[in-house]
Amino acid sequence: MMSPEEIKHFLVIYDPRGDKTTVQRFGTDYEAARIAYARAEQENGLREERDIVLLSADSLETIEQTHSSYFSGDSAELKELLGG
Amino acid sequence: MIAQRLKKFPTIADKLLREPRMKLSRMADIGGVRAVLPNQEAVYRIANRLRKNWTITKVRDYASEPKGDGYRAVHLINRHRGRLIEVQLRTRLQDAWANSVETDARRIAPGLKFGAGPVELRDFYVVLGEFLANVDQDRPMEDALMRRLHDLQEPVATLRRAHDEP
Repeated sequence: MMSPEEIKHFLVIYDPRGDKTTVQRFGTDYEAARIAYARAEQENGLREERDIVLLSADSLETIEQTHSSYFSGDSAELKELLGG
Repeated sequence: MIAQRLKKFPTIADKLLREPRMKLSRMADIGGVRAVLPNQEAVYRIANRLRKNWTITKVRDYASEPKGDGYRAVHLINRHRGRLIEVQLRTRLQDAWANSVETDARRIAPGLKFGAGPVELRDFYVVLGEFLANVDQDRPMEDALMRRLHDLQEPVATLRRAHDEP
């Protein structure tokens, strides 16, 4: 079982122009991640174009699965079930 | 598989503007936790365990009563240090469904999660949700459901292709 100190933080920014996702990694430094998140939100203002989220988990691989819409879209399992 | 997120600021601001009397500490889902589990049985097992051990103030079972758009999951609201945290428990397939909706909402139909967007896309997700629920719970597939899913796949693929073209 993962302890709270082991949780890693990732700032994920999805830009629909160009359908591009960027990820900043902060390791276990939540304070640095929180500051970067607040700054990114502030720079973005109240505009809805970019999706900015602070996600935390044991690894980026977990985030890529639990929030796959920011990365690869449909899961392999779903594609397989739908026959392609 | 467990991940947590902070809700994006514009969504919080929007909610406060729409419901000005709402206190920030009463707003669930400022922080959120999502756990993705192998199947429906595991979801209910974890939900029961959390109800015993955490301060759960509300449970929404969208797995047995899906939302109109086909969304399925079990949501629990947990009170932790005076704040309300939404815990989403999903099966792998429910999570795949929700992420697929997110992707199409972002790329094709921004209002898809709120009942807007092309009708064939909305129908597709309702039918796909039923199909995946049958897989998750090991239930037999009805021919009519399979035919509907099959018939909707091509129009949805066409929509996605049309969007991908420059």
